[in-house]
Amino acid sequence: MVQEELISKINVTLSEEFELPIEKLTSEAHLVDDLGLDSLDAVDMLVHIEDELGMKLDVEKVQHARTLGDIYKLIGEVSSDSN
Amino acid sequence: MSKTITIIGSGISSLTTAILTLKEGHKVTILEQHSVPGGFLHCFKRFGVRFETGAHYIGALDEGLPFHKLLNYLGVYHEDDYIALDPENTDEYNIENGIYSYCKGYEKNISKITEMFPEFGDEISTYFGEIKNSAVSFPTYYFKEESDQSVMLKYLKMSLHDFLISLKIPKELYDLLIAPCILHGVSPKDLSFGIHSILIDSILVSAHGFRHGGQLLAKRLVDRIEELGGEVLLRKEVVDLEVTDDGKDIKAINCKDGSRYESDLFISGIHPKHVFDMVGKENLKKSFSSRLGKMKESSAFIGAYIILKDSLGINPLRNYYFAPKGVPPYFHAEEIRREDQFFFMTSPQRDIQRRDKFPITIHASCAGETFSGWDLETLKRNDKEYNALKEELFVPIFDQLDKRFPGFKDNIEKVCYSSPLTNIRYNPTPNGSAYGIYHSFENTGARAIGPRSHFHNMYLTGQNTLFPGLLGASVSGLRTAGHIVGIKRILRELEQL
Repeated sequence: MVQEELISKINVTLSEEFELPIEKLTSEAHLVDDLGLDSLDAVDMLVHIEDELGMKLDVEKVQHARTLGDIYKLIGEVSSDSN
Repeated sequence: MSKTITIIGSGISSLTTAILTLKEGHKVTILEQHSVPGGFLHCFKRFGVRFETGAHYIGALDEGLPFHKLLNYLGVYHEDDYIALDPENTDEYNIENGIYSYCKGYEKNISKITEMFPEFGDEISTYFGEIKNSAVSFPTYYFKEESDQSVMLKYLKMSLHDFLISLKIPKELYDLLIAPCILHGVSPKDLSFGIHSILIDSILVSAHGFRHGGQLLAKRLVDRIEELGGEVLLRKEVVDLEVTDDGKDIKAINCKDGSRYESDLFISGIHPKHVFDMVGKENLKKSFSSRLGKMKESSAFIGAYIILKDSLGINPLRNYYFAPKGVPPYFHAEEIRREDQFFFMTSPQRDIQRRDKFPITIHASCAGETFSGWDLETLKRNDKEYNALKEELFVPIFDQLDKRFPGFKDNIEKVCYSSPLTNIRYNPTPNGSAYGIYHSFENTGARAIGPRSHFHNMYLTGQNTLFPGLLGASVSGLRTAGHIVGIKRILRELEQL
């Protein structure tokens, strides 16, 4: 799956699960300040993304992510590793 | 500043959290739905004998070891309450390739197993060496104020299966090393090596049973709570949790008897699915609610409580485990099959063997849908089909025991059974499991839910937030208390004991 497809899939999942408007889901969006997600949400988010994409992410790295772009990057790394 | 805390459920995790927060000056009230405290520590009497409902094993209890330290720290340790299991053979595993026994001590197990697999001595030593290295890296097990988290994380992220495969050992040795998975009910592919290491270490260093039943530990914990000014209220079935208008906090708890409890903090020691059902889906974040819904449950359990006419050589200081077709590939409720059944047998009277009574307890896995035709509301005690099904499920189990202990079936003098509905009734779990949420990678470590919740003033504790078993549950209580009163000092004081 190319990066754009992955991002689009993640955005649909996050929009549905966290009830966030899809237009707010950009690389620059700050998880806490812009999307209102806290550290507990980070684990919920990780579980939903893993479920949707069928891949395993590093919990600590997800918890340290600041922006949605950081999350996209993590997924890109895992995805290219598994390819 | 002193806070008021209401705790739902009185299992060992709730009781642990209560003592640790009371010690810091908080005011604690525990609400227990049952008429006796203790959760799976509680016992019941049948045929004049005290049977355990769940607790059958206490690990790491010798002086200086983690559970000994923790019980001392809580002020409830009494040496006479416990009895060491047979050091030569604490656990006997009857699996498809034969009978394997575990005994006390690392070295002894290494040499015993190496005798069976002489070509794999190095691999066997490596396995047990890594078990030890892993176990000591957990600061809330071998209590340490400061620790290198990266070591612990390395073990937490590795599966037991992957580790054993990397050793390139034969299947028979693999089967022997995964046999204790029957104890915690998680398949080796789904299981973190780190979690497994704690369980194995706790058993190898010191395996005990209760001399007078788990209920005595529950009583001692409750007595200590009352001594510290806390209260444990029985027959208080929580039916509803009120949420504040802004949706960020829990406001109060309502019980079936109409009583209402307000407090600064709330702690749930019961199954998370059950408590959040009572909070109401409309009050939960959708992302959390759907995650909770996806969490798998561990296998449901059925039980048989038996009086034998003769001991048949069954050692009351040993636990017997049976997985006739091998350790099943799946343990969780959705996929466990009837033919993969595993079970274990223990003695509720560890040392007081009356001449005329030989009681044993059997707990067996049970496929998820087996009892779906009944519910607690409508079930009648004399329901013929329900009772017949319980008996039928034990037929292959008794056949198996008859092979291991010839004459077993003919020696059954009295027997009564429990079903998953019994667990649902006394320790509310969604499917009657004893171990709650399936403790796979997805649900343990940093992925576990709790101790914090999405509500600012609500915490979770219990086996579902960490790991099953007395040790897992009590350490979960310590972690939860640590979030409220600060964990570093507790760990420092435990380390210094």
